[in-house]
Amino acid sequence: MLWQNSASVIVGRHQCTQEVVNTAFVARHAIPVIRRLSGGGAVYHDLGNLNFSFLRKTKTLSPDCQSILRPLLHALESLGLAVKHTGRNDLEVQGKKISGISQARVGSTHLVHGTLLVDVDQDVLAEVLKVDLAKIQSKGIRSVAARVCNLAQIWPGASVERLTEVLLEHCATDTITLTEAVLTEARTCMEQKYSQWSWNFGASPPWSEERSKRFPWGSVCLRLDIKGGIVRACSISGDFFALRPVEELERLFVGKAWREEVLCPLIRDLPWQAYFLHCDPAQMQRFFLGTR
Amino acid sequence: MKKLEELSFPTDRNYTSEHVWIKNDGASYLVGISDYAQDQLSEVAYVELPEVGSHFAANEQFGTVESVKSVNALYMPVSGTIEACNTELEETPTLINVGCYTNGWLVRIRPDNPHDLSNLPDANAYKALLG
Repeated sequence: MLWQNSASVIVGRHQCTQEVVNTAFVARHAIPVIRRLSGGGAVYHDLGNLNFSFLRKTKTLSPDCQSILRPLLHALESLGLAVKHTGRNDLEVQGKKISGISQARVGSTHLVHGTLLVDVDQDVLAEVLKVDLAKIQSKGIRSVAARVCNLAQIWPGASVERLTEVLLEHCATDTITLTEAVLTEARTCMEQKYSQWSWNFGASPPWSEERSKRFPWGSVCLRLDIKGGIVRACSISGDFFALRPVEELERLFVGKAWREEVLCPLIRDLPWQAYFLHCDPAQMQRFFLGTR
Repeated sequence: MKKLEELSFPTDRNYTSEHVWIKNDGASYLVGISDYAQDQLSEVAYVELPEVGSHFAANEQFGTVESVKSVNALYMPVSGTIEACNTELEETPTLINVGCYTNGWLVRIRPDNPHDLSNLPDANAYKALLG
């Protein structure tokens, strides 16, 4: 199957979205972040990228990926591209990654899918995956930075249309039209799972987050432990004067989903200056939301 | 990957066609993945396990295991309640590769009906499934 997504970030099944995605950038540019079923690291899609999926019913748990991908490699070779399938399960041309591949197995169905970078916006790609590793920590799967390369740089006349034609020629034996029943099921999956914060962000492995900041009136350090997207522990420390116990704030956050939509109304009308004497309430809200 | 003869299948437990083993250790029942499964997956990178106290039907997905190759669903061998998860796997998921029948266990469960185990393949029957 060949398919495309408009600008979006696709994270691996066991990645901590907050850790591996530049969340401020994607929020600013309204780029959706979606968690996939398969493993590995985060990738960026746009319409300069072509995705492929091979689905197989297999008895063996770990079918030979090489043989599944053989028709795809033949297709690329027919375009004069010397493609190498690396140990990391990437496709490389001239030592540069043109495709990231990952796999998942559900029941006896094995999925091998991947990207093919034809003419992806490299500036956005670099930006969405640029993260500050010090702030958020989880035991989830890390993304491995790779030197990626558009096929357009090495294949004269590169286009998604031409690549689609060649791949269909080499990899597809017949055409299957998706029935209305299948499409309805896909839409239900999208509505109930893949468009939901609870899957795309909430399903991250447990993570901890720490941020601290100096203000004219003192300094504050916020530490959070988050599991299933929900704050399990919160501690606020630092050097500041308070009229009300800061534990009130800590208790307010515990048990809540750590997302802007939930936090914003929660903290909008707090007596900020009672917790942090002489503070600027708007600035404190930005600090707690993690926005600049 | 290893040949079938090189893999071990202890006879003190039952197996499922989804490559999960279950063993009565007196107090309750331990669940893990078989030597065949860990060998096929190769190096395990992450294991997602359920909340303690949650209940699953037989064959229902209760977690996932991600290796350097792929993400695989984990299916319950019998219906039951999760009593404990192997939290050591959070730090060291490769315990599954080192000792899939010992330190690399996944969850401790309380089966709804312990007799369900007798319907599951023993080591020999499981080995025959793989052959």
